Amino acid sequence: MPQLLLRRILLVIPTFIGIVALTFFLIRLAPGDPILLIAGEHGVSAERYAELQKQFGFDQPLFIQFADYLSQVLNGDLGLSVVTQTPVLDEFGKLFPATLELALIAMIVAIAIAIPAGVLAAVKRNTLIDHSITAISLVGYSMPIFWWALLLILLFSVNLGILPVAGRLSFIYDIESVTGFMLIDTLLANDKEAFIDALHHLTLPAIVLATIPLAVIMRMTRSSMLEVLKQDYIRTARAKGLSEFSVIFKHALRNALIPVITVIGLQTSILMTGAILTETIFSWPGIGKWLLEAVYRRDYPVVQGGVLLIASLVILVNMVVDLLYVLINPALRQK
Amino acid sequence: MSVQLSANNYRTPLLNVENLSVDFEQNGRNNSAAESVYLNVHAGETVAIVGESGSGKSATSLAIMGLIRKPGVLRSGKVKLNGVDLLALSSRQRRRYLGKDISMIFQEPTVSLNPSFTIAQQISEALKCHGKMTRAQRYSRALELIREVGITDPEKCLQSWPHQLSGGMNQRVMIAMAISCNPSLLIADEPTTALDVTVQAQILNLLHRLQQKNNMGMIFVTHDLSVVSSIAHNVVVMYAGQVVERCSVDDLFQCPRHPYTEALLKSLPAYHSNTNKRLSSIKGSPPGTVESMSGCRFYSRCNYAKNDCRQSTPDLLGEPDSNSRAVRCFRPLKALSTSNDRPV
Ligand SMILES: Nc1ncnc2c1ncn2[C@@H]1O[C@H](COP(=O)(O)OP(=O)(O)O)[C@@H](O)[C@H]1O
Ligand SMILES: [Mg+2]
Repeated sequence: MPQLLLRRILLVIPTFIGIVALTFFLIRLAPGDPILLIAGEHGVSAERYAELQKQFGFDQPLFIQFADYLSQVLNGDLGLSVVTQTPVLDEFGKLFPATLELALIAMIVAIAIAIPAGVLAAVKRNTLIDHSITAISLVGYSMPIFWWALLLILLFSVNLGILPVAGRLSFIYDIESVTGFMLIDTLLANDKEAFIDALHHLTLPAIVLATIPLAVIMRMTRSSMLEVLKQDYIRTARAKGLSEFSVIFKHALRNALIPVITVIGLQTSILMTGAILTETIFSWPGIGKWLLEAVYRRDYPVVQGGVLLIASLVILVNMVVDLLYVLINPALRQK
Repeated sequence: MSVQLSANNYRTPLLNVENLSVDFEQNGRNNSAAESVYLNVHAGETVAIVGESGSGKSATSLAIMGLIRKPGVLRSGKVKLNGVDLLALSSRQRRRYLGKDISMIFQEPTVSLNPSFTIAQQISEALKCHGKMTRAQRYSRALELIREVGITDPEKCLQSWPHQLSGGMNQRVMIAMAISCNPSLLIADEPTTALDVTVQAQILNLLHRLQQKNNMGMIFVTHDLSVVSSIAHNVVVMYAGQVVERCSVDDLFQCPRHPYTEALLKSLPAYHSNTNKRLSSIKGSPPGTVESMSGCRFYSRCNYAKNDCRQSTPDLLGEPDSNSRAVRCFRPLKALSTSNDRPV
């Protein structure tokens, strides 16, 4: 087990360097020049251009630039944003709680609905309930996020007018940022109305972001439960005289969750992609929107640093999932 | 033993199974797995159910426990345990008996135990389900049970997961779990089939010893006639979902009446060691579906079949409410006394 952990940690190093290289070269492959983009319509004189190039280090050969960047990253420095001249890490730190809050709520919603629904579908196999759950899951999975978000906005914001379309909090509230999580900060400020308002703002983006993981986790739970319910030990549990609840939620679900946890880990990584789209649609002030804008402006340090940080997060999540997988799987725990 | 047996015939049985039928629904068709099975088990008695694989032994055993699940369907039947018809109860009411008064162990011990719980948790759960014991009491009872089934390092065993134990050990654990609430009836569905030969003998001995000690009734399911003589008092032979012969274990080996029983015996190595004949396996295979069959189900494989065997279906003839002899054949190998013949 410690060996397993060590191997996983050692594997992170080449992955990490690979990601640095990939983002570094990919963003430079894209057409567009950050200096010209900052200058905008007014343009920039040749001398000033050369000067700025030198300042950002763009005058060096690409390979040298990469080596410099890599050593800088390994020293824990992600550089300054070309546009705002603030450290990338600071910007990330300021915006990340918004994304994390959205992602966490979305994932909690997805898991809280998907697992019971998946269990129900498996237990009521081939009934109307099962077919409806399966159909909903299929629709959810194949729905384009953008279109789904617009549909929800149209219904809840435009027609019914009960949910806001953009941002994290209405302007009338002024909440001091302590944790960066709006739900917690509003509670800390003891402002119930602001809390409700924050919850309202969170609802639509969270639903949109939760949809795909919900569908995927539900399907996995269903098929995994169906597999487990066929096993001999389920018959043994029934022969012991256990209640049906105990048979399903203790004996079956415990085993059925093993593959589901892997899927949850994968979906958490994929959630990051979804977050970028969702944040853009709902003007959610998180790292998704920040990254997208950085790409438009060819803000190399932000794109590189942002992607690297997200990738590290994904790696971390996957490691936690692997660990969890081993922990709930006694056959693996011994090894 | 025969003295005890005849005495048994006048006592009310511990378990009385009547007209038990199980179907499996496949592709919209009903395939009969067990048809109108009757059997009795008395306290302290072991009844073996024998027959080739697919003859409906497991379907019968599971139906007795009320554990037939889709695609299986319980068509009819009464299963009276000490006079209480288990199948007439709601599943919630029946649960009070399962694992307490009537227990079951299965063919594949390792996959019959939950891989995500330790042995201690699984035994303790059975105790918790049917009694009011503290955690410490449950643990010491589990230790006692594990010792009882002959496991040498009980503490270590209790802390193990099923995948860490051998098949034989797991079957001992299953047995410990099954007897944890002192059941009056134990159903063992091919408990030794998946184990190697030396372990088989140990498990048989263990079951026999426990059964004697606790005066349990036992249904011992097997496809292997050679283990029957050492453990059973009475035998029920099943073929293609039907009981074809019912007799004491001595009668089974000395004068089988049904051609199928005889054929089973002839395929036993031991049976031939003194007669010096060649070992014969039964030609052909059991019918896959019996839905539209008329006549005797053994007809096509029977050495003695005549035309009428195909035309009408033989009834199981004998004493209906005892374990006395009964046979389902128009031409039993040795005539039954006709005085009390009646269909069962
Ligand atoms: N889950 C199932 N689905 C469909 N048919 C089944 C199932 N289980 C048993 N059967 C059928 O029921 C019959 C009896 O099976 P079973 O009771 O398991 O036999 P045995 O235990 O004597 O080997 C067989 O014909 C088998 O094909
Ligand atoms: Mg069987």
